[in-house]
Amino acid sequence: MEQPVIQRPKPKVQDPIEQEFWDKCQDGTLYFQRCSSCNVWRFLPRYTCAKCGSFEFEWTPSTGRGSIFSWTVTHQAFHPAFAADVPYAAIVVELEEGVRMASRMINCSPDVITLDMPMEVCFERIADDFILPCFQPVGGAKQ
Amino acid sequence: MSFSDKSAIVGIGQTEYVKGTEKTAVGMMLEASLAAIADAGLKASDIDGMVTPPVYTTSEELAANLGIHVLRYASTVHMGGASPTAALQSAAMVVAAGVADHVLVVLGWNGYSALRPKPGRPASRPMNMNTLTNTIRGYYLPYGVMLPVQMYAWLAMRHSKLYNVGPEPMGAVALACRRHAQLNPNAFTYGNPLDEDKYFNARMISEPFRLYDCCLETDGACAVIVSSAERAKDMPHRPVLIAGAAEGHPYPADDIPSRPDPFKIGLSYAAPRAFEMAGVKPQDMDFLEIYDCFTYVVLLQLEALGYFEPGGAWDFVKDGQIEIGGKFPLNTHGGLLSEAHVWGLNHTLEAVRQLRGDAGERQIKDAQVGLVSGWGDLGDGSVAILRKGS
Repeated sequence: MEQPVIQRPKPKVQDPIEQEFWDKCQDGTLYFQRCSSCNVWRFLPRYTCAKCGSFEFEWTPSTGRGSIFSWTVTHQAFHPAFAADVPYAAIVVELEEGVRMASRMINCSPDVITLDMPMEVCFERIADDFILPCFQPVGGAKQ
Repeated sequence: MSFSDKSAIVGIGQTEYVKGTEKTAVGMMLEASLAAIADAGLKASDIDGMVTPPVYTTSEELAANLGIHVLRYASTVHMGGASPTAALQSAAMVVAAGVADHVLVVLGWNGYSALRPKPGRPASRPMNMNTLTNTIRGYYLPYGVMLPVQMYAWLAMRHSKLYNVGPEPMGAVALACRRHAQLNPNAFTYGNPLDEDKYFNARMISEPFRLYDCCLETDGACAVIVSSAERAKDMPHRPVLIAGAAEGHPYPADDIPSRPDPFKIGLSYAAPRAFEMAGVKPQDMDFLEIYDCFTYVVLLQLEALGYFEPGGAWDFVKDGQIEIGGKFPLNTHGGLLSEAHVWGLNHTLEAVRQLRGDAGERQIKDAQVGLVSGWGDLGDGSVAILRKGS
């Protein structure tokens, strides 16, 4: 008998300004907000620039390159959709633009992870209509 | 206006701490509240202020059950596990300002049973923590991150790599808490000791946290009554004065990855204010009841309190220095790791017992002043410095 497929959880946000972050990257590029007034990049999505107070911003493409700021290797499946993936590395990645985000390292054994390890964005299809920005070591898959 | 020493904890109450109960969170909170009210020598209708938890009940519901017709102050602190200790600050301010005479601070939950629903029984009330829940659902859960053990691990992992902190100081915290619980018949792990082998050989949950780096999941409730220091003199117990209290929030408080300095936690902001208000120094503390959801979180807080520089944890915790008889006895009741997880309000109960001289086998000799810390949501912090009254 086939096991029922447990859907991976998609991001569930409150406001349109947050949904735009996830919608924008569906073209396979990561975009962050950049203040139109003082050019500061920001993430999480915010209504105003914390530096200058401006409401004006543009979704601006990121190089998608960055490095490991921190991580944890999770050994227990707290959510059934991740049961087949343990142990997996849930990471904090610092992008070249200076913003940091939570993500997952994929295409790589969690054993090799180190502080400041260079990473690049890659996308994982978690639903028919949704790709999720994840990260892998620069240069592609490693074991 | 400083509210230092203007208010006192005059009553404490708790339920038993268990894994598995038929009691609801509200039922347990009422039980603990009535015990605290009786301990203070008051009637329930004397309570005219309340700081209720961010989840599971409301001041309206508790007041209706307790027959409190005149409620002059009701509020809730939204700082997750830091809430009950931050609530002491709110209660102290309210009493010092004369807004209310007797303020109830209460916390209870089915920390074990709610996660293990039984068929045929209604589910626990939902635990929506606002900020925490929104950030997790929006930005962490898609990556398999949904629990504090994972999010706080981001802080612990970076800190441990930058400052070369091994697992030994984490183990020292876990073992000290468990040893203290062996002197505390209230503790869930009373009679169930832990040794170094068992600690280090336990399975990994989310690196760097092994099983015994993680606090207990228990059902239970605690309550305290805060009254003015003046009134406290005529009440049944020796008063425990709130000498200093403060809360602090990291920036930004709603997301861990984007913080300019990840090790500037809520307590980093709160601690200097509380010490200054109380007119004491970290070195003056006779005991430390530190919010111990996870061992490394204790180390981060000790650093924020000023006990050592980054990386100095081992020198502080080694050789039994954080055990009873050592320089800074830590979590003398066993803490969340080994007594029970009551969001740290059990830490305040322990501090009161120590300062009343009621701590039995684990009594710190001649305890005059001690510290309680709170940690919650994504690193919010709170602290209360409590002093023996006369």
